[in-house]
Amino acid sequence: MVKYIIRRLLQSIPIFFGITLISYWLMSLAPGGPVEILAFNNRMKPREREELKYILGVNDSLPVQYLRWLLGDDWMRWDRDGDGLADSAVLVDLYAPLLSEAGKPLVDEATGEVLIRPLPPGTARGIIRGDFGSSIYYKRAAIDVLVERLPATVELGMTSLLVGLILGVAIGILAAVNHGGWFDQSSRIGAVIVNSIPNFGLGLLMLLVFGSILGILPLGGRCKTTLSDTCPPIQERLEYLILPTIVLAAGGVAGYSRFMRASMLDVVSQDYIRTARSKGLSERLIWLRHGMRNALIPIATFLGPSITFLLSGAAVTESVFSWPGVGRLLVQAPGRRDYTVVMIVVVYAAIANILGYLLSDMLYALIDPRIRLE
Amino acid sequence: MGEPSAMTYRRINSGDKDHQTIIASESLTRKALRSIWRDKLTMIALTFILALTLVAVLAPFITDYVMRVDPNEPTTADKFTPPLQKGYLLGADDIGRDQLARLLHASGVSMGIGFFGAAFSLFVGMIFGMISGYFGGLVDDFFNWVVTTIDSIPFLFLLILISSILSFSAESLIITVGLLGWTGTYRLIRGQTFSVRAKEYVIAARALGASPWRIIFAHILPNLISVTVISLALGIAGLILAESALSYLGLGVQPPQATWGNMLTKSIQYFRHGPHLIIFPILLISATVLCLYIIGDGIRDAFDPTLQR
Amino acid sequence: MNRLIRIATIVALLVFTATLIVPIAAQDMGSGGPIIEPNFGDDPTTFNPIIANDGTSYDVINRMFPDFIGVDSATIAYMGGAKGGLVSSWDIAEDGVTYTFHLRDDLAWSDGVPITAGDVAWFLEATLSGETTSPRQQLQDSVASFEVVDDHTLIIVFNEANCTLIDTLNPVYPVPAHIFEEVYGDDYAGMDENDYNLNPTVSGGEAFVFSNFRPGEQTTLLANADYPEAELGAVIPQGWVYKVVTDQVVQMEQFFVGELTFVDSVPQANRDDVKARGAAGEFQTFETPAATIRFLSLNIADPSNPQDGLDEDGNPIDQGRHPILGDVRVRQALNYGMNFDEVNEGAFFGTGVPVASHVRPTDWSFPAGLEPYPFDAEKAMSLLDEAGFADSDGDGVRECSGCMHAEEGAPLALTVKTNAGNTSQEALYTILQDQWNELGFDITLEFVEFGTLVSEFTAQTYDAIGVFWGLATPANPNGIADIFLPGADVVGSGYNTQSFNNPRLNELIEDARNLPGCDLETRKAMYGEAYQILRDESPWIWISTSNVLLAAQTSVENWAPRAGGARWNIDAWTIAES
Repeated sequence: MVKYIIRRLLQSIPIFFGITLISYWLMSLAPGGPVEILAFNNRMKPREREELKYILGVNDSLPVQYLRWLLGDDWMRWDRDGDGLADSAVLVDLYAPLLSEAGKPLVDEATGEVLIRPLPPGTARGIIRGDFGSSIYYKRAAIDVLVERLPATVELGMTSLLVGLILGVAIGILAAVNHGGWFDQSSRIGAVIVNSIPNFGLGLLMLLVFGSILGILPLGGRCKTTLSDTCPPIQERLEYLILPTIVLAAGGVAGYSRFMRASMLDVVSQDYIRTARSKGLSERLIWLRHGMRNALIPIATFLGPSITFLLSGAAVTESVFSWPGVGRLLVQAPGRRDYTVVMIVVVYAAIANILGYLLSDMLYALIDPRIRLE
Repeated sequence: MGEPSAMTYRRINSGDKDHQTIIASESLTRKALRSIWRDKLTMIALTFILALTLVAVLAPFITDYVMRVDPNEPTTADKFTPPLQKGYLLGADDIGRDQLARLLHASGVSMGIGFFGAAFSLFVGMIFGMISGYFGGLVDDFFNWVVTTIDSIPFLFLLILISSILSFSAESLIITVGLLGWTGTYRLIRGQTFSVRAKEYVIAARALGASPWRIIFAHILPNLISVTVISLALGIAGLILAESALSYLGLGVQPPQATWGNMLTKSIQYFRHGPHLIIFPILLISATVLCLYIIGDGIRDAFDPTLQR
Repeated sequence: MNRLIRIATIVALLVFTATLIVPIAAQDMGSGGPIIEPNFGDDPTTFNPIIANDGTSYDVINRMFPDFIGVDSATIAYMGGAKGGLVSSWDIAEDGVTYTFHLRDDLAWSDGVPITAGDVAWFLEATLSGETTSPRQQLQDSVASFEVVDDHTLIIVFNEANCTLIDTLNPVYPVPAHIFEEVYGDDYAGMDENDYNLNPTVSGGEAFVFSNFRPGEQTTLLANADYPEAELGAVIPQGWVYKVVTDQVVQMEQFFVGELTFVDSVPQANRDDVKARGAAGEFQTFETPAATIRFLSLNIADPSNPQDGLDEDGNPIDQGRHPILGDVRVRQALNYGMNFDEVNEGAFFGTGVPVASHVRPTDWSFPAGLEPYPFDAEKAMSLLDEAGFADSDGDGVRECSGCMHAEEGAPLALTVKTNAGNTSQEALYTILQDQWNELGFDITLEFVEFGTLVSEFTAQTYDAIGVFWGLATPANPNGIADIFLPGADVVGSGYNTQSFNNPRLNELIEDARNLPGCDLETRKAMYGEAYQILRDESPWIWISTSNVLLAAQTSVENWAPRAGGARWNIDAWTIAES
């Protein structure tokens, strides 16, 4: 088992690099850069903007920027004699030009040479050494920005996963037991109908109905607005979770219930169940002990895809419900060309996804004795 | 959000055993068609989708020659006109454009994105899947790496990233989706190709010197019809929802090109002025997606030998 | 004599204030319940005024740090002794560059340390070092040196005498030097990385002090126990919460059900509704001109070959001409062809106010007689005819026949781009497209992602781009220099992206800035002429400034917003706790 996990993790290394390459490349294709957006303000002068570009290193070529993000730049430009200014450099420039009012390099009238100033040594250590860089917009480490938002996303994600799983499994079982009956039909149709409505439309309509018109549920947010510096424990603010969870869990309920129903029906048609039945076991016992147990096993494989699905759903749901989670970051960061934040969210999603699939497989192996991981 | 269906999508495509067993023979296909014909719910859904497609295709003709309205022409004096007044069958929007005309055009765009996007990604997925499954080895490893990589980033995240490069139009959204959304189909087709390749008749055909492409088209493709149609139906539904989610985030297909998604997004702001502007787009999206789900289900049941009556 | 009047005024004021305090002295600090305001958008990024550069951060900073020079909320002008400002008065020496600022002595940080000249000096020291990641070039360029004379006297020496020196001090705030010295030291470049930025333990000198920040959710301030300027003797609201609400529809619904105390800009879609309900007594409302102007920038130079306005020696560079917009008559035709009433009704729900030039009707420099272009389709058409654009093939689109800059036979076609995802921009340009096409234009509309739009704007490769922009408060007409003078016409980083260059305008702006004695009326006349030139030459189409609607719950007592500040008396707002 341990061997299997290690091998799987090793296998995901090339995938991880693929993810970072693709997303870094996509992101850099977007026209404009962080400085243009940050400084879209008519009181900012050309020289300021150009200087900011040197400070932030956005003038370097794309591969260099990617390498800096990945491996850091303390080896690209360093200070050998300890005077605080860099004296050696590979891949990047050692000097920056002095700039005129208009943001253009200044040229020495006499010699015709561009005037330059030395740059400080690189300090970035790159993500492989755990340095995800600073967010240009948020003015702090990108990892901090992500970590601040994680609890809320995990809270909503886990709740939705659990609710989806429990409701989905329960409905699936009842539908299988009742197969062909009214519950079976109506639950199937109900699940499909809820899933046919766009998520944001469903969320907003529910907010308007339950929050505004009926006034029985809060209008978004994670807890009641007070002067306090934290939200109360989760059990004291369940009402805030209800609507976003419904929106986010709807897909899960539909998926799990259909799957559960199908696999229950599949299991009870197997020979050993027929044998059990012929031995005179009660129907109820057959469904619950044999049917449910065996039908539940494949559900474990859902964990991986569910995580990806919840993350995607979070982008919209968190925006509708003002939920302070990670999904909202990804909606706002690309527009600001806040590269480090975009990248850390993508990396986080990718890691969650890779681990999710790994966990799925392990769970599957744990539950089903017929499967050996090799 | 395309995601609920994307999940079903992935599951169906991942080659669960209920589909792996479907190796359709001629008679099975005929039986399946007959069973669909008898399935009233599926037929209703199918009729709805076909009718809507027809209307969508004819939309420019209908608005130009029958209604004689320009869907993009504002008449500010008529803004928020409720349905059935001042000659607006479905009312007018926030700057007095005819909602019916816009919905007709939007149907073309939204269904077009769904259909062409899904068909394109299906096509790409099939080609790559067959190549990968047929040739195996390094080719297969490479494609698997690409697929796992793309799959590890949530689809909506990718669309959000790309939206800042392209400012989506219908065409660019279709191409994007086609180039990124093929991984599900790929896995399915690759698996099928793999298993069919080992079958005796294929080995025989190869021994007789048939080209790989001939084998793929003559022996492998026909077995995949039902799964393909299901994928297509669910794919269209997923894309229609994904387009509307992008629109909500302000990143979807940009006006003046109307889509159901951007019409709905915009009208929610005005729900106190004109509820009719919300009701119709949301009904159209939901009904279309619902019908596509039903069709997918119907086809699956029809091809499932265990359910054959 | 002067002094006598001043003393008399102070005495009178004291008496007046005393009468105000006495009857209400019973009110305790923090008895008024918290004020909850929506923050539509994203978190503030820092509470350190040295590095802040986004509006949301300033929204919070302004609640808990005094300005260096306050703005009087009644006259909307910088004023010594204005509420919320540290400077009580200033003198200008004969040389015109040495300003002596006298600071008030009754403000203190939340740890009890008085706010002094040293606190302002710390800010200037850090900013003028040029090492922070948020350079403030205007300030750096104008200030030569500064000197702390005593705790309450600060001398600032500027590089050159002109009339906008006070405006350049706009970003200056006092910061708690005793804390900042300890926390940041002199590592100004590394300031961004410091955790203290989001957890400022010491603030003060304003109505509130910092309490806590919950990322993605809210920023919370508490009543300042030691605020000498409180209208009622003490800060009545218990605290101020800036709460993130990410959906505009939801934001207003929260207000309707009472979850929000106050909304400082009701979305256009809700405006008539809120107004009507306000009139019916459900809410308190207040309408005031907005600080933003919506405009369509017209590229005058050749967009296929963008060039800077001036070369290194300050001589104009030949930038070519835009084939269509290079002719002023076409630009004027677009102005005459805009039916503002229709635009206003359709896109702004009737809340728009037409603007003629780069000035709002409420600004001090607004000249009498500056009129927006009237809607006159006939005039527009005849201008187009005159410019050599006529519809010769009868397809409804004019073609060049003897025009100045386009090729013969080229259609009168323009691509208008604006930011995606904004409903009112969408409505506005859809209506304008319709109106202009009727004149014989062939307008293509593109709604572009904001980042992309900004990069095309600064790259000067566009035909016409529409966005909106805030004007400084208090208005600084010298801002024209950064948008319409050739020095700001720098491809990729300047904002004269339309490549406008009018010698008379350049001269007027320069002279008005450097007018000896800075007589306000003379400067007003000069700016008046400048505005008129801009209107007539039309490098932009100034479309509208909208009135903003402020709304508060009826439970808020003493809610009295002014055009010069919605929250000028926020310390007196009393919210009856339900």
